[in-house]
Amino acid sequence: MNAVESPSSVGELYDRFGALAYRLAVSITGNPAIAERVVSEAFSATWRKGVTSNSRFFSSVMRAVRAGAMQNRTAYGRRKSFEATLGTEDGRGHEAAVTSALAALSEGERSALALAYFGGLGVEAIASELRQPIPNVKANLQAALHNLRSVLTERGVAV
Amino acid sequence: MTHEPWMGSAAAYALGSLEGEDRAAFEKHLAECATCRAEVQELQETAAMLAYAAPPAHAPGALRDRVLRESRDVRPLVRTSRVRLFPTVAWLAAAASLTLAVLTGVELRGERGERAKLALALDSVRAELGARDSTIAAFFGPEVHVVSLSPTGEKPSMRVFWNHTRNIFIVTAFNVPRAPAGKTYQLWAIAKNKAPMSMGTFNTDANGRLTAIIPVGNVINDAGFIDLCGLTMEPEGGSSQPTEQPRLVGSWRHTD
Repeated sequence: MNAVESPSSVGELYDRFGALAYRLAVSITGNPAIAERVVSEAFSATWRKGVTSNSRFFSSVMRAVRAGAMQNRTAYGRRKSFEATLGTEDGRGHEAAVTSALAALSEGERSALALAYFGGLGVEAIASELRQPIPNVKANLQAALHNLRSVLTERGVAV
Repeated sequence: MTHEPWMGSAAAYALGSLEGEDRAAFEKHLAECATCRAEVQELQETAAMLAYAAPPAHAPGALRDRVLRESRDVRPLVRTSRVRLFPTVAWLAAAASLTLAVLTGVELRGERGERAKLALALDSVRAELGARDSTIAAFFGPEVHVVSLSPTGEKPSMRVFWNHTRNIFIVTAFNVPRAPAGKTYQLWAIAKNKAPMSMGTFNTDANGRLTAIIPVGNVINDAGFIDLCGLTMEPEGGSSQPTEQPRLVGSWRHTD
């Protein structure tokens, strides 16, 4: 995302990040009504914490959406989350950059990242799911986020 | 500070995948390691970008109105730039000035030995000022919020500062009797419709005082905000949930 280091109003922040927040919430909960509630709560909670920059707000609100969605996801959402569409979207801008960055990860890194971020699993559960030692899972998560950041930075996407 | 052995846990922590003792140990390390705090912050920002990998979904138009309506009555928490810590700063500054003044007098008398001793004392005061400056700086900044805790109807005996930039709580206590052997104090974050979340454990000194820095855990960060803080006494090591009613309680201050 492009960092705009001046705080905005809630309306401006929603216009910038609301659609993406909803998309994330639906992908995890599998339920549009729950996703709406999660997004609304996340925005008001993050707004209440105070906004120092739009980029900081983006990071905080997405974390709040993900956490709220994880707490409220349905069985459908749980199933769908494991079918997370990492690397399947051919979008533009940030989407394309993220998709490209994810495609550059190794299979082990990508799987661990999907299970952690969209599946909400801990390292032990990921290790069990992927039949890998826990240190390998930690190393893959570490490499995945670092490589993701590196590729996004190279493509001029401010993280 | 050695942080290399911990770096392997930073991503798992940033993704909320570090659990149990691993998580507790890492959070303890975070309290003391600025390098790892910065690493976690960066990784959390990177992880937020993964939202772009979620499947497409069209947000209903009514959601914007709902967000605006529910945020309308929410005011960002007050900045703590108004908190007055000048007495501490003034005392330290006065101590330094006094030492300088004494040092000048000694120089005039040509007592080199005494001058050297006082120079050392001055260095010590400067070092203490530097350390205090670092702590004091954590109380300020654009993303610091504060809560005062007190027994019902009495004056506050604790304050907790939440520095969002450094992702830490700074806990200050005064007149809080030291917890007996086998017991510890535990601070709880209480948010609407959520179970109390542990903010950390600590004990006060023999004078009932404490200044401590506690890293903010992912559970609390993910909760978005907390309405109240409560203090209980728990068995050594802390509890997963409070075992008694809060001895001290307070809500985040809302003043303009």
